[in-house]
Amino acid sequence: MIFTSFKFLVFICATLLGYFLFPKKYRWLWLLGASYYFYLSASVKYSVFLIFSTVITYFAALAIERVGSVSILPEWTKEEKKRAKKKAAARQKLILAVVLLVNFGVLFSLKYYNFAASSFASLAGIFGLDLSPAVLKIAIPVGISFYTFQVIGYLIDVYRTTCSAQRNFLKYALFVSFFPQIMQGPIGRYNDLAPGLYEGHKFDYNRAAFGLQRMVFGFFEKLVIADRLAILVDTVWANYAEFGRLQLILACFFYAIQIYADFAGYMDIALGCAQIMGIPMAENFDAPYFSKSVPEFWRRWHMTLGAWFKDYLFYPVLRSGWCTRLAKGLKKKFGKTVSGNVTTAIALFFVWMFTGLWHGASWHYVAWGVYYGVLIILSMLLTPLFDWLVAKLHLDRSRPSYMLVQGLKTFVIVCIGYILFRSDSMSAAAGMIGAIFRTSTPVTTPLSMGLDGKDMLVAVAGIVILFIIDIFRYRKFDVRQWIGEQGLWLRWIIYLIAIFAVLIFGIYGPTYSASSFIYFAF
Amino acid sequence: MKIKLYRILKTVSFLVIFCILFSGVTYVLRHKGEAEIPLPFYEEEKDSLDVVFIGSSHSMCSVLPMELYEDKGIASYVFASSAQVTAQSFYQLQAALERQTPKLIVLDVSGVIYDTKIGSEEFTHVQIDNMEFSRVKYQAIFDLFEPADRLEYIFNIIRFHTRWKEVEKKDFLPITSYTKGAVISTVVKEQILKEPVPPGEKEALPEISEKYLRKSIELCQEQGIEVLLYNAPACDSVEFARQYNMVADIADEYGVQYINFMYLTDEIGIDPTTDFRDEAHCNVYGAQKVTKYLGDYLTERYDLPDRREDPAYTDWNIQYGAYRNAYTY
Amino acid sequence: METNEIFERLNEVFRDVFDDDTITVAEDTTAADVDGWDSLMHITLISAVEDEFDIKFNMKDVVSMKQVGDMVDIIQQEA
Repeated sequence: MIFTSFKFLVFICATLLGYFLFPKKYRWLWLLGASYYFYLSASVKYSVFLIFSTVITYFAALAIERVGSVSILPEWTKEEKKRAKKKAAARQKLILAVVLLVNFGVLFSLKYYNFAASSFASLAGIFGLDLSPAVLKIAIPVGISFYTFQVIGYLIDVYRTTCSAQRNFLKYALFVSFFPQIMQGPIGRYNDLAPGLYEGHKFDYNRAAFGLQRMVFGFFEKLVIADRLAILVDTVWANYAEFGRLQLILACFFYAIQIYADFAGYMDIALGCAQIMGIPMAENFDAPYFSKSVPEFWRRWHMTLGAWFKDYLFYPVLRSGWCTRLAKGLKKKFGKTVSGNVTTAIALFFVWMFTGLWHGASWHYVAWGVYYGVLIILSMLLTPLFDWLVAKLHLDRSRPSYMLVQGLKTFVIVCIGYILFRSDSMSAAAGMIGAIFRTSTPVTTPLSMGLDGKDMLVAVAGIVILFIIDIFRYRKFDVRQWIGEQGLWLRWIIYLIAIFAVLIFGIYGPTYSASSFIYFAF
Repeated sequence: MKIKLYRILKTVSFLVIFCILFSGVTYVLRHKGEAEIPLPFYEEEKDSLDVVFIGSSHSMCSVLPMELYEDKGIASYVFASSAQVTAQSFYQLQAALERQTPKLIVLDVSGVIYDTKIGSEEFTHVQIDNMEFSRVKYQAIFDLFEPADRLEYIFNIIRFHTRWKEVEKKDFLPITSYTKGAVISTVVKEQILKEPVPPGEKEALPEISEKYLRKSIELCQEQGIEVLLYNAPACDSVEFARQYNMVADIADEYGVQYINFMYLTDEIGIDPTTDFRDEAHCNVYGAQKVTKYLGDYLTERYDLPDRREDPAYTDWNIQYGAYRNAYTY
Repeated sequence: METNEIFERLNEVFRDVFDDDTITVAEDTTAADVDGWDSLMHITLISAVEDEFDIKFNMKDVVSMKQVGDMVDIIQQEA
């Protein structure tokens, strides 16, 4: 079910109504039903995979916990106790490893098999081998990248005793399938999400108003800004050879806005909806385009994914046996700085390669991830140099002009990254970049990119509004609180303008343009 | 408790304001098309019409209700929309009967040759959008369209919000018309009138058309309303003469009359060089001839009151004056 | 081990890891308070603390540590 559809609006009304009509203790049960209805309406056959993941990780978590709480009899010797603990730990590790393998295996087969097979075949082709791998004709189940990561995070948390296993299967199933997050995240942590999820919340008028406002803004971001810019971006990307340098650069810029408005809009709808029910969910964005460095950008963009990779890949790699041994060895020979840098760089490379890969089964996604990986590694390595430069040039890092330059620099880096991300393939990306730098460039106007003057105006107005809202977010100014403090008429006018802006300017409905109506009699 | 009541009141008031604005915005954004044909129907006083013409652009172009009134005192209206086919007419008929209690329904059968439920997507909007919200409208929407298409007829804004770029002054003003559903066109385009096959040659109608035609006639007869089936003069309908001839059988079956102008063009003096605006529609000159014939036919065959001296219909005299001022032909 | 002693030794570790002799940590010191203490340096810091006190943090602690006080608690438990 698409969030920005009439069907979803009806679904939300029904779900919210049901939630507050249900007895508090069982409201989570209603949510489970609603979540499965939501998922099944998107796809019935792929729900098999969702259920499979849910079942297997549910039992695995319980098993890990049970095995871990091995009974240690007081009369045992220290040696025996130690051995028992070690045995238990090994068993836990085994369970975890197997289930992780299965989950990743499923994800791999469904999402990455074709990519891996064809890449391998190309590689083999270089050596003269002719492999024709079978192509798996299967579409990717909705949300699998998200819920797989969420259940794996849960399982690892249980293993680490960060959280305790959920004993109630249905409650656990809700954690996995919760409809606001199943399609596009945020990737939730069990300790953060579970309490709010299972506790039935009383209806709070103000909280509901805030949640509703957030949803309306989400609709605005998606339907008015993102989908409108998409028309322009799609037009240019489909035919980049036909467009001049300025148009190509503009298209990159607009894509940056589009993807942000799209993703953040979706988050606003999801979190706004959860807020109405009183369920806190993790934020995924924090005014990312105001970042002053690439590492900072990734602390503000798709935050739950970054946090997931940090806690479940980055740290484990750095703390792993081979890595610590490597670090020790390097430290002896080259000192702690080199040792730290090398091991961190290796870990970062893994993280960014997989971050790229997570986004899609294609080399240009991997390249995008590695692009950021390299930049972040460089940023780490060059920090001492930059610090020295800043001191030498007597630059004041707190000056607005300095911050502005840093912000713009970061944004440009992000836009360049988007060329890799948006293009369908490495060759397309290369073509796009080449087109920007070519010497002779066709002269075209900004209005020939698929949007006419009026649409451009609306798009730009939308971008300005988004910019202003983000400034408020960046400065931690609570807009909804401010609105709530205004007089009734002003509040209502704001709400009505927002809602009608979406209804009138939103990109939705049959694509047929009413202006091609053929006047019959007049 | 007080706060709760206050909040409920606030929410309800907001929703009410929203709904009012919503319908206003929907109206402004809606493509009016030829709304001036069906929409002013609702301005006619309830139960004041004695004859209602139901059908497609063929009716709109060939009948002049104001002349029917001036010459014979017949209070009528052409409640039609372009490209209307038989299934649509069934609902148009019901919509008409919600407000009026005519003695006679003149049903335009030009659409019987199509085996679809709707004629043209754009013009079906004109028909449905200008129908008042009522049970009939919802039945029409549910019957005529696939589930995926229904929403845009319930909420026009889904279809027409893209018109925000083209909205002009005209969109904000109410729709008025003096013609009572007629299209006055002085355009002359020479046509060729071919000889149709004899009335005896017949061909079966598409299932859908026959079904809704019968339903329409039955509906009228249930309510004691006379039905007259009608096929306006049109140069391009000669090809379908056999099917139009089949309508005669159905008319006989129900004991109703059927005027098929395909065979009356000579009788009323239709001249293909002056009386058509295009191959499918009469212009006002052709319409005058058709209307004259209809006027005589209706007063002869049906018991219709002459409203010219009726004090309740003085408005019509004023309207006729305005009509004459606006249109000279 | 005395808390004071722990904090003294921790200060040394922090100053060494982040190359800044002015760092003084307290119970409520977080990553935001120390320049350079980001996720990249976190593990380096953790390793250094482990070496100093001859203890081993488990992953749960590494990930959930929010302030220096958390670190101190674990050191006291282990050592």
